[in-house]
Amino acid sequence: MSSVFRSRTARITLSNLSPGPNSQHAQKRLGRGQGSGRGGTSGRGHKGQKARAGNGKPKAGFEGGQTPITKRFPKKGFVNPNRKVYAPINLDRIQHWIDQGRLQSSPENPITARELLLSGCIHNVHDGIKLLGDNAPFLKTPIHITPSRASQTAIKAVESVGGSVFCQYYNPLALRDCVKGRADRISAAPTRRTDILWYTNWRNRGYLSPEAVEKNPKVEERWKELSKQLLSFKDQTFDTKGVKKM
Amino acid sequence: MLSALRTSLAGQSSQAICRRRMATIAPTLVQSKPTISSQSKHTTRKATGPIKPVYLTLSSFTAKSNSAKKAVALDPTVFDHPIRRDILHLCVVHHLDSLRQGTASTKTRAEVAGSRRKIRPQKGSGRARLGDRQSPMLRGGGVAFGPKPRDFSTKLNRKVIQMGMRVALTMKLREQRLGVLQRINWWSHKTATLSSRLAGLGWRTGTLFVTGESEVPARMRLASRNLRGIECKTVADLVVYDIVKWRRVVLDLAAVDTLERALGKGLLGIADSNRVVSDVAHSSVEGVETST
Repeated sequence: MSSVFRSRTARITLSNLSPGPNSQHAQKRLGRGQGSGRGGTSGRGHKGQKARAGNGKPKAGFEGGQTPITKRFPKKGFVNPNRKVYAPINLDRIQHWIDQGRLQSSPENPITARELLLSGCIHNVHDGIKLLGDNAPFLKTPIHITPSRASQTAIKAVESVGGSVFCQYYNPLALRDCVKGRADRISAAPTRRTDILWYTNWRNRGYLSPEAVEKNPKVEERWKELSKQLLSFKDQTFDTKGVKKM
Repeated sequence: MLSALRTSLAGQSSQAICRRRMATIAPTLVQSKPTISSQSKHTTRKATGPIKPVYLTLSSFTAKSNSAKKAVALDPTVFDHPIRRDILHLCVVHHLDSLRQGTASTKTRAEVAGSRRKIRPQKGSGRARLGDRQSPMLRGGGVAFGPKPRDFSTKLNRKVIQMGMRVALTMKLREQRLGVLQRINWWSHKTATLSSRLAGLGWRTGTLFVTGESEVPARMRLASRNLRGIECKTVADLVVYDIVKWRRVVLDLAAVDTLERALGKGLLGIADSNRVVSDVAHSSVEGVETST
């Protein structure tokens, strides 16, 4: 055998295995006699409310009558159930990922939430991706991306290099399908007024704007009809007969 | 020319600097930053540097003792891993916990049969106050905080168990208690034949045979199943506990293949053709130690 110095010459058997030093801590066992140090009153002292069985406090957070910390400060505001948190992604990070070969894009296979997540560009999609324009001059390759939202700087920078941005509406189910790669379901159209106005606007590169429906190589048939229907309000007039003028 | 020399020296020194024994540098990390062309595929380079296989003498049921010996090339990331006794402890304890039946059961005061009637009045009897007959203070009452059927199995990280396997196999190899056969097979179903051959080899007690096939060959299974101190298993059923428990572990080449694929980093790429080596001068480890 090679002349390797062995610190433990005994063979390793079932009888001489032990855990790593200080990897296991002995359990604190109360009420098991004097020698343990936690016998008798089991570390509770003598009598009083805290020595009794059960919790020892009237309720959680009770401070003996003093105004508890949870009551000292006023309540503020409300929590918006419709709040959307978009995962930000800047242009310089996308360029870096493309340089490393971790991300590719083409008009037929645009960058979606799925590609960004799987390549590690983004760690969590939250309610969608928002394309932001930090360090926009670093972007050199034309990218084709379909985020939930995009900033004006980012749109300008991407299109100046020859790429394309189409902001698509993803509700939670559609986003999950996108990330999981499911194509059997139809992604829902926006229903809220604010969303409709946003996604039919070419300024935002919304996917339901007439220009986007024309230019987008990955446009679905129903988007063309949707775009027409959702923007029909612009030509509609109200029936003003009999309505009092304000 | 000078720049090429400089880069080659840099490559060598970066490998030399890693003085840890099991410094396995993945080939892709050694490469420089890839060029922009995203179409080029990464070709995995095999590491030809300081990683060399560990050689073990090939055992045999049938070979004569004075015949020419062969050696088996083993992946050092699996069979020459740094020893971690604490990892072995974790794996063994995890296995034994999983075997616990956990059926100890007692009745609490709610489960003991009996009425809820108060045994004696609260005041006036001069004795201690008592409620129903099933109180844990009383004889025949329920057990307070007694055992209940529970699951003692624990989770152990998959990679910890894998490291445990590597450590255990390394340990067995270093203690000269690991053997490799071409194939774990026996010519007869008669137990006596196998028993005498194993006695001749010194493997009669405390030997675990691990085959890489999907099941243990029938004749070997029949011949060995009545032998105390001998067990045959498939590599799928192999656990760290078995490797530590059994005095001798004998693998077959298919089992070595499976273990290296599951546990190794695949840097050496030992194929079936260069698994068995005829040049015994390479052999750094003698065959499995026999019991006298």
